[in-house]
Amino acid sequence: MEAVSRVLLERATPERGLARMLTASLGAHAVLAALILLVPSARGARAPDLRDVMTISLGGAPGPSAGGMTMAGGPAARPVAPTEAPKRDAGRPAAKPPAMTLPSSARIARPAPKPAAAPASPAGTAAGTGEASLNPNRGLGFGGLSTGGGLGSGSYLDVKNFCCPDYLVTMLQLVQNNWNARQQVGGEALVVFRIQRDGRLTDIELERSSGFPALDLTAQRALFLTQRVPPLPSAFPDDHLTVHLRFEYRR
Amino acid sequence: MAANVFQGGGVVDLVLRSGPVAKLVLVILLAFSVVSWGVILHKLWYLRRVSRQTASFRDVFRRSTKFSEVQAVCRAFSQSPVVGVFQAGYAELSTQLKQAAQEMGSPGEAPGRPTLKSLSAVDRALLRAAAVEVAKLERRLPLLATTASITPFIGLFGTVWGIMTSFQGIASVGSTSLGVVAPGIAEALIATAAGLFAAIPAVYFYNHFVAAVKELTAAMDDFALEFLNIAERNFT
Repeated sequence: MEAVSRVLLERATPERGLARMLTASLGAHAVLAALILLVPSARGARAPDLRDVMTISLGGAPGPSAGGMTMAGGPAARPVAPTEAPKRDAGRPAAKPPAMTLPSSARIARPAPKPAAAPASPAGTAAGTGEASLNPNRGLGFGGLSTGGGLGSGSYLDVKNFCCPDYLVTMLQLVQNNWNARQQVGGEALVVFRIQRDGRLTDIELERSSGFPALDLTAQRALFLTQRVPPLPSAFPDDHLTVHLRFEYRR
Repeated sequence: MAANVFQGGGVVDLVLRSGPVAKLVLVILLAFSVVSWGVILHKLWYLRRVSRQTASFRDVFRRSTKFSEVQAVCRAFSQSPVVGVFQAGYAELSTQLKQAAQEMGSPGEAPGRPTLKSLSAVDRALLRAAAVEVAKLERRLPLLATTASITPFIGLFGTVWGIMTSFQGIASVGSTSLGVVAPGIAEALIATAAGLFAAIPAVYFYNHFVAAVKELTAAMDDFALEFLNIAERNFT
C-alpha cells in the first residue's frame, strides 16, 4: 500500500471516549430528573397545608353559603362562567322554559332575584347568572342543588378543602342539567356519590330521604343521567372525591 | 385556576398523567437529549484537546529545522488534524526522495541534493489528508443537527396529539370550563417543552462545533501551504 494511504487509514480511526461521555450525559439527565422530582415534592408538601386551612362548602344558601364558594375561588370562576352560560342555553333549551313557567311564586320571584342576587352572591357563581333568563332557573335549581337553607345540613365534600371550586361549579352545572327540579311537592334529599379520578360518578346512594320517593329518585336519577363529569383536577391528590349533595325541591 | 392545577400537580404529575402517545414522545425526546448531550460533551472534550495539540504542534514545527525532527514528535500530538496533514505530506515526500536517491545512486553519479519529482503529488497527498481530517472532525455533528431540527417537531406532535385527545375529552364531558380544558393542554404542552429542551443545546453546540471545525480547517489549509512552500524551497 502507498505510504500516504497507510497514514490516512491510520488517521481515520474514530476517536475514543464517546461511550464515556454518553454515560456522563445519561447521569446528568438522571440528576436533572431527580431534581425535577424533588422540587414538586416540596410543592406537594405545601398543598396539604392549604388543605387544612381552606374550607370549601359546596353550597350554602343564596346568601351566606354562596359566600363559601366565593371565598374559595370566586375570582377564578368568573372567566369560566360566561362561556358556559351560552352553552347551557343552546344545550338545553327545553329545560329552562318549564322552569320559568313555574307557579306564581317563581314568576313573582323572577324580577326580584335579579337585583337581589347581585349583591347577595357577589362573585364566582354570580358571574354565571349573567343572563337574566337563567336567574329563576338558578334560584330554584342551582340554589336548590347547592344549598339548603339549613345551617348544618348543606352539601359538603368529604375532603375538607377541595382545591378547585371551579371544578365544583362545572360539576354542579352538569348535574343540574339532568335534574328535574319541578316537582309537585317540596322537600330535600341528600345524596352521596363519588367522583372517580376519570370523572365517572359512582356509588350513588341516598343519604337522607326527603320523605317522598319521587323526589329521592329524581335526585338520584340526575346523577345517574350525568354519568360523567370532567376528570378530577390534577391538583387534587386523591383518586376519588366523595360529595354529599343536597337536592332541594321547592314547590 | 389553571395556575392552581399546574402548581399543585407539578411537572411530574403532568408527565405521569399523560397518555401513552405523549409518554412515547417524551421517551424519544429523552433519548435524543441523552445522545446529543453525549455527543456534545465528547466533542467539547475532543475539540479542546485538538486545538491545544494543534497550537503546540505548530509551535514545534516552526521551531524545528528538519522534517524528521517534527515526524518524531507527531505521536505526542496525534489528536491534531494538522499532524495528520503533516504525516501524509511527509510520507509522500520521503517516498519521492527515496526514489530519487535510488535513481541517482544507481547510475553511479555523484550523490547531490535529492529533488522532488512532483510537487503537485505532495499537494494532493496534503489535500487527501485534510479531507480525512475534516471528516473526522465533523463525525457525529449531523446527529446534533438532526436533534436540533426534529425534536421540536416531535414535541409539537406530542402536543397536537394531546390537545386532540383533550378536545375529545371536552366533547365527551360536554363542558368547556377552564378546569376541564386546562389540565389536558398543560399535559400536552409538556411535550413541546421537552422538544425545546432537547433542541436548544443541540442548535447552540452544533453552531459552536461547526465554527470550531471551520477554524481547524483553515489551520490545516494554512499548514499545507506552509509545508508545500518549505518542500518547494528545499527539494526542488
